[in-house]
Amino acid sequence: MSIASIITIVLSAVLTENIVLSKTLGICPLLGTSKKTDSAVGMGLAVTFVITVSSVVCYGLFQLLSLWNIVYLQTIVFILVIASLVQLLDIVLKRFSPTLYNSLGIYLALITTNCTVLGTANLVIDKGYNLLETFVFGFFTGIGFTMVLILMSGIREKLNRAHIPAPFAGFPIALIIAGILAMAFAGFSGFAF
Amino acid sequence: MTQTQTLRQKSPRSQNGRSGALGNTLRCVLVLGVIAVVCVALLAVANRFLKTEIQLDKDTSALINQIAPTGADDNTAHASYIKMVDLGKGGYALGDLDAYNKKYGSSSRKVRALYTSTHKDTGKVTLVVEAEGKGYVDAVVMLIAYDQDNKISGIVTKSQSESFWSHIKDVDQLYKAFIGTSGKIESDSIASQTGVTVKYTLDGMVSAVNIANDFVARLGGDDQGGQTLVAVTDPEKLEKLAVVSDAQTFLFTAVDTATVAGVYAGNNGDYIVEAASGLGSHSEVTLLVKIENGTVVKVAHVSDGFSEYVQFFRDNTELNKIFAGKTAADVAALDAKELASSTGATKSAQGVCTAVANALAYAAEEA
Amino acid sequence: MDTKKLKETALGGILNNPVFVLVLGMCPTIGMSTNVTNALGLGLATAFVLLFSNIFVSLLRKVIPDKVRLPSYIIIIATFVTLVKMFLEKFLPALYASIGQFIPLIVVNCIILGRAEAFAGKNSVGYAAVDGISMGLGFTASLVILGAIRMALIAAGMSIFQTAAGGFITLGLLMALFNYILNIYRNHRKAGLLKGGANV
Repeated sequence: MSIASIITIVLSAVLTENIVLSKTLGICPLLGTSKKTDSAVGMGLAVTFVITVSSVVCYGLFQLLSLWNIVYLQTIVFILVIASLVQLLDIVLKRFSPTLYNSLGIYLALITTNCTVLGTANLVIDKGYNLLETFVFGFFTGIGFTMVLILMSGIREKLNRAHIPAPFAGFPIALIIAGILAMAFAGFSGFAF
Repeated sequence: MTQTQTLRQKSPRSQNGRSGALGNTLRCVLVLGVIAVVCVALLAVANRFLKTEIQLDKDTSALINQIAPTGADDNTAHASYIKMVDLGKGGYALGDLDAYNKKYGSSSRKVRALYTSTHKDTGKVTLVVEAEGKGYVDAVVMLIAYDQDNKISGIVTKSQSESFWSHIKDVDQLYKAFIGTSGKIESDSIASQTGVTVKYTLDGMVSAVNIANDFVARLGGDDQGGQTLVAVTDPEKLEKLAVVSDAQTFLFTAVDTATVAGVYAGNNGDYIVEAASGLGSHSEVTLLVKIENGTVVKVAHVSDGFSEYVQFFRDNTELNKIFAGKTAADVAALDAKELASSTGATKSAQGVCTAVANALAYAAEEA
Repeated sequence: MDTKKLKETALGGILNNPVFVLVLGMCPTIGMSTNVTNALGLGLATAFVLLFSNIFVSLLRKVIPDKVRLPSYIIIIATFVTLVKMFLEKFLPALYASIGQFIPLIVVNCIILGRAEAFAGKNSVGYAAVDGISMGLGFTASLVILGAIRMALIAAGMSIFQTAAGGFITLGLLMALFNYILNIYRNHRKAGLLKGGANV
């Protein structure tokens, strides 16, 4: 496991193959929780945690599934792992860190149906990563997600002061901003328009 | 009366408090469990019927026709000359792709399918392996054709989704670097030969080639003490083998002795030695001898240095009349001159007898 | 069955269009609308899962305790998603090769869990099935419209619409157009109602 390949994974997870802007996953939370920077950071951190842990756990379970020749249960097992993990996190945070729970709590419930989490768990399997690569890829995918969320929220906070034509207010303008960001990110993988 | 009333009033409440909660939890677990079991069972049944197997589609056929030409156009080739091989049938030493991949493959490389491409005129059969290796984005799937010596005779990419694929400037030149190779290939050496710089994509291709090379080498037999067994695909040889054996497919082991060229194993357990007389020029003859328990069962003529007039020793029926049922001792006792009496071809008779004796001697030694 | 409710449910796919009105299921909408074939394929796959999960959730709504509601729904949905995946892999391998990545993600498509939670879990099978079909087709239609527009733009030489960026922008513009038309419609209705009121 060379440093170079780790760096490649980090760069692709954060920039060239950004989960939101290049793989078009996690758009619902992008539109829903990027109105304020505070909520963007909260959501981003919660998602990063869940993605990292769930992709590592799912990686381990997949090895068992393929050992027992029941790979077809992948989807059902992965989503149950993610749902229970989110539930567990909810209980643990509520019990041991009420402050963190108060800041993350409302986003936790939304994470189960956040397709970045299941998407990353599946990607890790498709790419045939090992345990360490899975951990690194999961963590930095979360970081990439958080980064886009923060970028979006910064722009949208400014937009609050701008005059936007009525039909564009809300989701349409957010989508167009995301499109422009995606164009910028496409530059990282050398895409020329 | 009052007692029973109070009891009646009390008991349901206390039951609701404890066993009610327990009952609820139990019900939750039970319902969830039943749903899960039913769903898993449903999927297991569906998996049995919908299990995907790679199928030979027209696009794949067209690619195979490029690297292992059938001499026919793509449509005809797809319909009649290119076939997907079911390893379970046909006497290959590897009975099952899944088992092979489990043992030798990994999540980053595996063999997907085996095809045969038959030339429409010559009938020559080429084995084509479909294998995948992990590239940068996803699996790179390669089709690799092999010649009789298990060397790569043609290679092409079936599918890939690499972001930097276009950075491979001359993909044909890259393919050429693989041609004629066998065994384990290092991607560095390919890279230095071709100047291809997309490391992960090249690694994917090389892993696919490596597992395909390994697979082809094992098709005949796993861990055969360093010897490689290959499936017999040469139609001419198959025709000759059919004279002595009812087996459908044969595996060939090269043998390095002066008189024995190889041993063929039929999928029905037949043991056939290809032996020459080793007598040189006009007495040289090569025969296929099927041997069972040290006794000749059947003989077929392969080639000889005889002159035109001794058709007698090329006739398999005549040969079988002489040799069937004979042991090594019987063959040694045969008087070549007596055999030759009808034809007068003493040297030829000598050649045929020596070839059979050589085959029997090799079989005895191996047993 | 109550015809008014049935009519309302059946029109849900348009009036409560999952993409343009409820803004649900954005990820596959943007990811898989580069051409009509992919859009139609993924739309119908989603509609199938939606229909059957709605039916089964509705059938089991009295059996499933409230506490384990969500895990039960998730298992049911994941089962149908896996069935669709197996089916496509076997019978439509070419389509599967291009949309396969998004098939497992149907599980986390908010539309499906959303309809199970908001509708199927509270209504009888008939309504749930109609809702599933209506919402499923509404989703498919939005995807196909988006796919057709992007396909036309790509064919016109604007390769940017092939990328994620193009998907975001097309959907944003289309949604703005939808809002614009909706606003005009609402204003007209308001004006019309006022006139009517004055006449009476």
